[in-house]
Amino acid sequence: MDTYRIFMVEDDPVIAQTVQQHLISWGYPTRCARDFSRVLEEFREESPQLVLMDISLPFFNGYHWCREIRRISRVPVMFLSSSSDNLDIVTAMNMGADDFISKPFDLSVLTAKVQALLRRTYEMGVPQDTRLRCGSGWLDMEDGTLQNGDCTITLTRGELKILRILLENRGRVVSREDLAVQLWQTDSFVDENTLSVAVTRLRRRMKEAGLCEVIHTKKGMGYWVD
Amino acid sequence: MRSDSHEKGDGVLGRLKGGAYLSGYLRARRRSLLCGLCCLLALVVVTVLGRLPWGVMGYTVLLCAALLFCFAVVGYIDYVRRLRALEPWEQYGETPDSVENLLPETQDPLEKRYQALLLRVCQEKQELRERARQEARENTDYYAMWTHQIKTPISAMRLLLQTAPSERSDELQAELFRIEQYVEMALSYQRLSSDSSDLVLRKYSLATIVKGAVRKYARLFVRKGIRVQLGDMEAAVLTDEKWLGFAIGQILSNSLKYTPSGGQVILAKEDPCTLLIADTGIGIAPEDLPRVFEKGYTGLNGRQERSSTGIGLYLTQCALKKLGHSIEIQSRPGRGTLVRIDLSHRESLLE
Repeated sequence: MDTYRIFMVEDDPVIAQTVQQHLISWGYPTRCARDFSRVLEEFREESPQLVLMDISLPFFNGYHWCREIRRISRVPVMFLSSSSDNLDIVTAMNMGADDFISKPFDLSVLTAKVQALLRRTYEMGVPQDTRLRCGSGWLDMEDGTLQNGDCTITLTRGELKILRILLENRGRVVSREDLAVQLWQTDSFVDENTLSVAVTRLRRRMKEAGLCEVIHTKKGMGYWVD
Repeated sequence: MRSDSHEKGDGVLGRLKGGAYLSGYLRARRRSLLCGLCCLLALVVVTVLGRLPWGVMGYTVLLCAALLFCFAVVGYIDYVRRLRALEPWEQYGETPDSVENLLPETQDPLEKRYQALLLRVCQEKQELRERARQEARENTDYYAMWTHQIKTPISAMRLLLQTAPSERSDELQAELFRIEQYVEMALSYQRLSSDSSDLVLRKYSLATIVKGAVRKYARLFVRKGIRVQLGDMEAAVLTDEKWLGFAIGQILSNSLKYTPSGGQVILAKEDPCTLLIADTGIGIAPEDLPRVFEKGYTGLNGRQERSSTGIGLYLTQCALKKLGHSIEIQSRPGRGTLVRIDLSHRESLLE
């Protein structure tokens, strides 16, 4: 997979830095705009593969810069809008953007949207690697199978979702609450008890495939995988 | 010549019945008419007492009576004409100009004074109205700017909490969410009270809007351990996505507040176009039920729940009304509450 460079135009330093660090930790080198009167020049210098554009900026607003960028490039642009901007997808696209996300947003949602946009733009027709390493085995996200050596088991949709979220947050502790909330974003309306039961069942099934000690519990905090 | 008549309502400003014109005229000109009659009477008395010949005096009296009658008739016609000219009073314009056009020409200084006074009052009214409109506009602008500004630190805090998880970050996120809710309510309140409409009526998928609202409150549901059951929501509705989402969100927020842990919230669709939201919460007392949509009404539950503003349902109903939808609530204390939102449209709204 290529390394995608992201250019971020956001004037609030806290938001800019936090998002930048987060995206870098996900493997996307990210640069933030510094001079908001020379955004177009900085864009040219950066030559990114994706632009995150806040709408309310000093000097000129995000719509203006998007128009300017569109004059010279077809790079995907995602707006960061405030609810008072009254933005919906139709307006965003009319303004030249490819997608938008409203503040305040969850970093996981932003990451997912960025990844989706990158895939749509650069990986059309390219066979996707839909497998994630899971312990000593592989999780295939497309057909929901967990393969370890010559042992293959099929997970239920719920189990697949849980494992996928944990693997996508590899190395980080995901609190039970966060895990539940993320499942809700995919219309799995679980409560914490149901979740605990599901994780226990998932662990048992993974053991069947010879994958033990993959999902760890951090007492009082949540689950993680390495 | 003062008129003592105080005819109420339509009598003064609207069309008068035929007989009313005459009695009005007679009352308005009674002194002159009385004067004329007295003169005639005086002539008669003098003739009788002075034993004057009736021939000449007779003519004089008749002549005077005839003249008096002619003047009275002319006066009456003029009076009626002027009254009729002022009849379009009901449709008189908002501006001092249109009022001025309505007032008849007059040489009478007294009438001129009244007219000037009237025009001045109209002018002042227009100025007051314009000032009120200006203030409302400035208010809206301020609120819009404020909510826009405050979203920045809220977003920053949210991100910081997400990237530096700690034992307290879950609770902090929950409190932050409440702040966001209050900000959203303030903005909605402001937008709904002003006449501006950022309403965009389009066809949307009901499922998308409902799911969006449920997802927004995911964290609260999970934290409180309240289960959600979402029935089939596939339907196309003509509505404004933001405002309908807001309304559903308010209902969910209430269900969350007033349903204990372990309870349930069920969302379902009733044909042809009604959204049902039911919870197994503490319900609404029957004496509160007819008043829940009143602005600022907190009722029995609200007073116990310290964070109740009393305007959530009021705003919800306002928003739904603007969209052409209607809302109805049924409840049984101790058992739960059922909210029905009718998403179909009254014909009058479809343009």
